[in-house]
Amino acid sequence: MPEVRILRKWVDDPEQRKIDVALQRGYYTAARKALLEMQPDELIEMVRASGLRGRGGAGALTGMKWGFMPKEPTADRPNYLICNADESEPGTYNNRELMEMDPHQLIEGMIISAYAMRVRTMFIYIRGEMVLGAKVLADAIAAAYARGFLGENIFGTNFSTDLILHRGAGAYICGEETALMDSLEGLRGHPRSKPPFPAVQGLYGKPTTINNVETLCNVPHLVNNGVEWYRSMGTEKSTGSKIFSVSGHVKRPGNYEITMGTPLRELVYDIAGGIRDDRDLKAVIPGGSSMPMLPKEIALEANMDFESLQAAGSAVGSGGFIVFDDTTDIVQVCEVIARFYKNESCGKCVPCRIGTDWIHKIILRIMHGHGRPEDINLLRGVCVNLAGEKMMDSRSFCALGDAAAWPIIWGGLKHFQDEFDYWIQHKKSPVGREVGVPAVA
Amino acid sequence: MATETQAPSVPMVTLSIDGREVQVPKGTNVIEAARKLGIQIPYLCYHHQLTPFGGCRLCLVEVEKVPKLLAACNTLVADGMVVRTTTSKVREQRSGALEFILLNHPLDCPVCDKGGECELQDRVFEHSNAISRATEPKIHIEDYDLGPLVVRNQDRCIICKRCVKVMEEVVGDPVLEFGQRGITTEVYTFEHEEFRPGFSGNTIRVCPVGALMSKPFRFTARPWELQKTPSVCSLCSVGCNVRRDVRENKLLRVVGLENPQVNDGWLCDRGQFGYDYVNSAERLAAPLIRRSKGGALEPVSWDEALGFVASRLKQVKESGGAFAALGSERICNEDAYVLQQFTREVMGSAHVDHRAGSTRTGYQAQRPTPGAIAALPKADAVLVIGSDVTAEAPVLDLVLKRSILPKKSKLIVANPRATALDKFAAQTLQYLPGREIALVNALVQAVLEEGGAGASLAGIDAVRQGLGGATVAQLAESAGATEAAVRQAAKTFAGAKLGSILYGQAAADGRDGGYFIAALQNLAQVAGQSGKDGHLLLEVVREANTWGVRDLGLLPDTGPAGAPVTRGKSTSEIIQAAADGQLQALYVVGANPAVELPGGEKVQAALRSVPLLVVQDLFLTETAELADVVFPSVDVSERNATLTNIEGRVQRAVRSMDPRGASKEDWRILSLIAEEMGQPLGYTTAESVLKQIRAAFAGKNGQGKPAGLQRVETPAALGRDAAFPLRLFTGRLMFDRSALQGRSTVIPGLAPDPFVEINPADAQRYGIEADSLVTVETAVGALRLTARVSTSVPAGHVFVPEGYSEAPVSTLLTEGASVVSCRIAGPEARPEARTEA
Repeated sequence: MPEVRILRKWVDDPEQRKIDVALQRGYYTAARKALLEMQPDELIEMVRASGLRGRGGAGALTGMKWGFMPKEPTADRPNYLICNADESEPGTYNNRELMEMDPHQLIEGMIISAYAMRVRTMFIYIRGEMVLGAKVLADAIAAAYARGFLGENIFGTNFSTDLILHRGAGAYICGEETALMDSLEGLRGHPRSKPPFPAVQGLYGKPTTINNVETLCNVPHLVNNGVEWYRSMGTEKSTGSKIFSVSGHVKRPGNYEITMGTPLRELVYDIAGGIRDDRDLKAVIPGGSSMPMLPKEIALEANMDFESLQAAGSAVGSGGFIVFDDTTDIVQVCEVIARFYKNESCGKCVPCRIGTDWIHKIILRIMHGHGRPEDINLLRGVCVNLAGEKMMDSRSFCALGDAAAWPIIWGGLKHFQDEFDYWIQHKKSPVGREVGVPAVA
Repeated sequence: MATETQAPSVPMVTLSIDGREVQVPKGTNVIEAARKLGIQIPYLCYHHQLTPFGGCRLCLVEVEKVPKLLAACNTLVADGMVVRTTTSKVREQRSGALEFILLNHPLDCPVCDKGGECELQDRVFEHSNAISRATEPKIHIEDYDLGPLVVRNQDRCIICKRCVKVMEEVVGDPVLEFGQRGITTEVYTFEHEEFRPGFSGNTIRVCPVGALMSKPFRFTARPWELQKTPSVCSLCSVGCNVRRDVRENKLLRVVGLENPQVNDGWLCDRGQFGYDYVNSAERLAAPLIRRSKGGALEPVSWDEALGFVASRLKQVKESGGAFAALGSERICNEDAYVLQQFTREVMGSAHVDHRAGSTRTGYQAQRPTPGAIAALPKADAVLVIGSDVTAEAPVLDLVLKRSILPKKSKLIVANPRATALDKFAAQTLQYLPGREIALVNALVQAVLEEGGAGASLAGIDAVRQGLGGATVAQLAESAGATEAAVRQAAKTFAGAKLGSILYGQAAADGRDGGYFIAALQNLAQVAGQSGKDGHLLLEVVREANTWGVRDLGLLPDTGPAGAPVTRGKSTSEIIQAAADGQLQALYVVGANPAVELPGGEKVQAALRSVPLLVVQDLFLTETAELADVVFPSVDVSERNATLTNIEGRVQRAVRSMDPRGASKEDWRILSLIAEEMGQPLGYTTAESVLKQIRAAFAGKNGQGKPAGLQRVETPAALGRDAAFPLRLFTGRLMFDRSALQGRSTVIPGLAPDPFVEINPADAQRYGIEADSLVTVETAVGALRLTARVSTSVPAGHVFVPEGYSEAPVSTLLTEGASVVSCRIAGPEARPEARTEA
């Protein structure tokens, strides 16, 4: 199955940012159709029937999430829609492209979603570092307001909705939906307890739905082309297309949109052009750095959909697809990943605050030539303390703790323990890195 | 929160924990449900008085049908829920979480103040295998000075957020927050500013480890060396329940105890840090006698002192000379009872009083009933009038915040000077000092104009006569408030489902105090609030036993339990009699009229002229210095006694240490003198006095009937005096240098230097510069004070705080006046080397 161009149809054309160009290309017809011809619940049902699953990482059914929102919000208890654009997962850059290159696709998706969920005020919480994206979106939002696509009585209907763009201040944790809401409210970004779930008590304590950029970008296409069309792509439980951000040791890194279920092998060898210098593949992280890496043998048998990757021991995650060739030092990969989560732990709960730091310190010690044979069990033990004995058995307050432990215990240690052993025994890596060569600080 | 009593309508939920069924109200979390079964789920960040945090992960339990472990603090009970708290998975999780927490914990328990009462230490002993696999170096975070009361040791901190939540959810002053993130997360004050004193000590009580500690207590004792006695605080009228911790007969620490009816464990910094005046080297340890007028006070034996006083008093009595006694609102019930009994029965005199200038009568009608504090947060509108609650009865401020912070009630603060509660108020209503009645009448008129049932109440004509046809605008102007503000406040108060009123004692003690209270009663009635269940018209009294001494008849016109007595002289009449040479003996217990009564020099001269002045006190006060005989008395912390708090609740103070030197309880000294005089009262213990008090109160509830509507005329404002163009008013501060707290180690340093606060407009007009030393002068006296320029006082007025014996504002005041005319002279440059107490 080759690359498809649905969400990414116009991302190569900078002109697409202009609302006139977008309109010429048929944008906002879906929003017009939804608002003029469809009932809100009809839209929710449509999204439910399409099988669209959240593209942010957890893969929850979008239609089901929408269905939890109150049908009759009041002035005192309005419904809110937040677009989670705090894309920060290492290896992931598909939301960024969608926002920087095709902002009206997202805005249109949000208008339709707001109509479906009776939302009067919407927010885009964009990662602080995405300066260009914020600028492009701000311009696009202004243009949409000028055309009457946002604000009062959109398309002459009774429906009104506002869109507020908010820039984050640089914390990975604020991509966690409840921490995002705290941050949006002006508080320190700490995850909140669930329950109560956002649909009951979200932003400012009001019913809130949070969707990923890519999820919302799917909505106009679904309205335009219908459920049948949507379900024709992908598998039974993983429908539609998905953008993977391919990076690492491939010939043509970049964002690629593929239909769900495309063989992983195709993504690496056909779409991304194969391994650099035609070397051998060692491992793949299929869904962002928090998802366990898969060794070559398992990876090449997997398909790019929720079920297949889960069966293989990893997940679609955020779509950050990282490829490692045979020159890669897996222990160093683990060190880099551990360092990221240690730096980004918000500090709220004990397992994550201390576990992430301890994991990193142990790996760093091994890489400095002070590894001990018992460190393997220690590392496993710390990961269990942090994220439980199996996946989805977390001990931390939010998923960041899982994100930190999984790549180590269910990735590096599970598939490449021999490399850790080698480091401990020989004080260097099997691919030739010596002790004392510092990892990138 | 556990402190809130559950309404009977809350549905019950049945669940099973470790195989045992339990029924709890809906909304209970699993920790509290388990507690009901006697099952202790361990935790470190949860606190039953704060919202759950969920950070420590020590309380994770297994819940059937849920794949993950759930935090018991954050999980609410549900019908049919099956919880397991002791499975191997749960136990391993606890041990694992503790291993994590100890990873960077310094384990300096041998030198940590908390060692022995540390929640982390206890949980580790209970739930950890105590063997760490860690070999990595520990993280260290540099500390900084938080100020004079609280010490931070960040390395010991486990990031439980209790301290942050106390300041946010209980105090409403979110000065603490997490700084940084991840492994370097710390608790800090924004930009490392000082942790402002006020209620900061509450963070120490909730800290589960030794991260936040009391600076004065630090390194003075290990917890297990302390002798711990539950008692009550006596530094204001709230009567907070406290534990006094004593080592080697030194009071080292005061800790709040959770009595939901009173302070629920919370304390103010005055109560938490002002206790150690009892340890002061200045405490009197032996009786003193001045053998001849003009001579010095010399220490003598009890026998000699008692014999001397007894024989002199006998002479006075036999010669038909006049005897009078002055008590104070600070003495205990037993002392008050015996003092009035001694005066009336032993000395046969009617002249006994405790008040500093007030001539109010009929206290019984306003006596509150226990439960008032707990009822206060039930009101959805509270009018505070003429009181700086945070300064006068600090913990009452926290009680108000129980409903204000969650926005369940609206606060209206009406005070001449800005107060700490203003920023929590829905509305502030500044009025001019001394114009309370005008303000209340304006509110009454505004409520009547709003309509409602008030206008048709029986007796409304009397009210209307009192208002005299004045409009809201006229009355508001007379009070120095705006019409719009008055109307808005009236609307809020009358429109409330339950409206309560807190009023200041100072206004009620003024010359027109009786009318002020009557006006407030009119307001409560016309607004339809009086008579509602939970409605309060509560006087914010200022001292630990104000209601006790009123109840026990330390008054010239009322005996114990409201018993009728021959009317005697009031405080001011007693002083006048002394000045006129008509008094042969004056007996002062726990009071300091030399600096507390208006008049200053004149009062001192009067005291000096009394042939026999006997004083009982803890310290050699300004009054004691003038005495012929001084008896050393015993502090509340050193004796068994009872105190009656702001809501009329009689609480026991329990002896937590031995009395200083040869000091004795006030009642005992009086009792010994009576015995020496051949008229024994028969008391041997505090309990025997209490028994007598109980007998006096038998069959009486001490309650008067609430008055109906009354005619209250708006008094004319104080006339302008060209020579003294400004008007001076006074009030209390949370920290001052008064009799007791002023002799503690830390409070005098927290108190500002004595100052006069002046409006910027007046400062400009009279050329007063901020921080300069100025002279404030009235017709009767003058004081040199540091000028503060602030809009917190209205133009044309200056404020001088009470509670400074080095600068007693009483010297500027005249009898019965809450506001006096004054002038301000200066400025002079502030001298470089200025000595301060």
